[in-house]
Parts: sequence; C-alpha cells; structure tokens
Amino acid sequence: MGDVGAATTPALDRLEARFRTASPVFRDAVRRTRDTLGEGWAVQFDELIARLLSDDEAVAQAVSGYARFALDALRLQARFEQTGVYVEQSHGDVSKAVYANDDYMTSCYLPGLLLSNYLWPHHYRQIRFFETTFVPEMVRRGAERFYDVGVGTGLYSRLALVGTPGTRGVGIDISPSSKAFAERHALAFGVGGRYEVGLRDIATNPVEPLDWLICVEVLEHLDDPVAFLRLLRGMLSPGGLAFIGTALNAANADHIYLYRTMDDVRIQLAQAGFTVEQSFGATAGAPRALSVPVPEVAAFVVS
Amino acid sequence: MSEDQLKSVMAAMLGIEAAQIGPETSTDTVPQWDSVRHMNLVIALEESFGITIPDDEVATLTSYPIIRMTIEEQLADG
Repeated sequence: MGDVGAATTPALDRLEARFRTASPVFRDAVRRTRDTLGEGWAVQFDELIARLLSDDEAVAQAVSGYARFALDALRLQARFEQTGVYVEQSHGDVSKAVYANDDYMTSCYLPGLLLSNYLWPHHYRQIRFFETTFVPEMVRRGAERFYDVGVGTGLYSRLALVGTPGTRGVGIDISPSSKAFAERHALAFGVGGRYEVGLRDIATNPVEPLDWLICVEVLEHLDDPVAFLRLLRGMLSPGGLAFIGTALNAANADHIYLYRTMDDVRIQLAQAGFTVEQSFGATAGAPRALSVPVPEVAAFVVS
Repeated sequence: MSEDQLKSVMAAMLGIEAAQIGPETSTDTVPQWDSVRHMNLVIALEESFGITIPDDEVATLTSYPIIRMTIEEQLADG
C-alpha cells in the first residue's frame, strides 16, 4: 500500500517507536494493524494516545503493560488450545488477584486492555459496530442517560459520551482502579463533566432502570452470566436498548465462563428476557486447523 | 544445560538453522521473531527444560544470551 495518503499520527508513531525499542516481539504490531484497518483507525488511535498517554512515561508504561497482557493471553490461549477449557478459577479468585490489585490493574491490565482494543482488529471492529449502530440510535432517540456496567478502561462510556452530545453516563464497576482509569479517560476527551463511575456490585446493590445500557466484556468474567444478565434486564426500562458484548474462545487471566459460539450467548440473552435486535461477530483471524478454536468477539444490541 | 538442546528448540520455534544461533541471535537479527513465535518458543523451552518462566520475565527473553541465562537461573532455582 505504501504511505500514499497516510495520515499524520505523531502520537501513534511515538507508540510504535516505543514498541520497537522496548518490546521488540511486538515491533510490527502497529504497522500490521494499520495495514489491516487503514488510516481511519490510525487517526482514532492517535487521538486516544495523544489524549490519554500524553507523555513518554505513560507510553512506556502502556507498552510494557500491553506486552505483559498480550503475552499472558497468548500463553493461556496456547494452553486453551490443548485442553479446550479455560483455567479453572472463580470470580472471587479473580477479583482478589486482578481487580483489587491496583498495581497490576494500573501498570499492566488496564493499559494492556486499552491498547488491545485498538491493536487487535476484531476488538476494533466491535468498536466500529458500536459507533455505527448503537451510538447513532442514542442520538436519534435523544438518549439522556446510560449505564455502562463494568467500565474497564472507560472506552465504551467515552465513545457514547463523545458520540452523543448531551447524554450523561453512569459507570458501574467493582474495581477502584477501573473507576479511576475510566474517569480519567472521560476527562481526557472533555466529557468528564457528564460522567461518573460508582463502585457497586449490582447483584447486592441494584439501581433504578434507564433507557440505555452498555455492558462490554463482563459476561466471560463471571461464574453465572445468566443471573447477571437478568440483573441487567432489570436495569433496562421497557422500550430501552442495551449493547452487550463478550468474548468467545479467548483465554485470559480473568476469563472464567467459556462461550464457544455466538448462539451460546443468544440463548442466555433469551433466558434473561432480552430480544436480539442486531448482532456482530469478528474473529482474531483464520483458524489454523478445524479443531483449533479462534478468539472471537460477539456483540448484541438487545431490547 | 545443553546448549545444543537450547539451539535446537530455538531453531525449531523461530524457523532458523541451529548452526546460525549464537551470541548475536536476537529479535533484532531474526525478522520473523514476532509475538506468536515468541510465546511458542517460551512454551517449548518450558517443556524441553522442565522449567516455568515467570510471566514478568517472558517479554525480556529477546536474545540467545538472555534466554540461556534465564534457563540456567531457572534450572538452578528448581
């Protein structure tokens, strides 16, 4: 393709340079993804880095965190390919080891998760699905408030807030590290004034229903996703719309519930009382063999 | 630790000749040494030498000398 028409992306170039010097096994990650997803991706990713990783120290920490995060995932995926199951652990185990571990969350997990949403094409394609289907519908219907349950890095909250001027976001998470990261994320994009994150377990501390709900990559972290989906259903007003995404066949340090197909998720959504209005799936790549599972994202717009 | 065993594993996982592997062999000199090959190499080293490489050291194994030193340390600790 060459560089004809290449956008100017100084922050992304800085990230790429850091990968080359500090984490050489990922030295081609930016270039390869740019070749796959194009200049629109590069411009969006550049803005994220410029706003959220604004100095060399932040970039260095993100690259280091991503390398650890991605190599952990590759190791666990290799084991998953051999055993066909995720490493057995409970949500309580993961909460202690990961979500309540501020050092790990801040230095590795959250920066790694943030970069993976852009460097892993299937995750970025899910972002585009959200931006092209759910956000425009929020705008069209004049969404006033939304919940984002399990904010993680605050990525989907920010996309909704930036894409829907005037709407207010209420993030919910169990991790203080995620709350701090997501609020900083929103502030960096100038939408922090319309956003707050509460530390809350909706299982024991329910909230009033709203018309809009986002919940991305939470289900696979749970022991009983159906019970959780029923709680989400109760948080959505009649006539409301929710965006629910999860990961299939994707081993990770905190993935507990194994979804093998999109139908596995559809069945649980129906059991919880949701109606699927639209769906999207994307794989990490082509399978190496018939029996080898491929990581995939699956997202659903449900009512 | 057998250097021949180490070179054999690295050659197989990185797609290069064992005879080419030496002190200069690194991610800088092996263009195809990417993240997927890297993790396959780590897993093969663990299986071949009966060791466990700590997660926080996996990303640092970017050359033949570093890998050799790490394996020696892990064997000594084991």
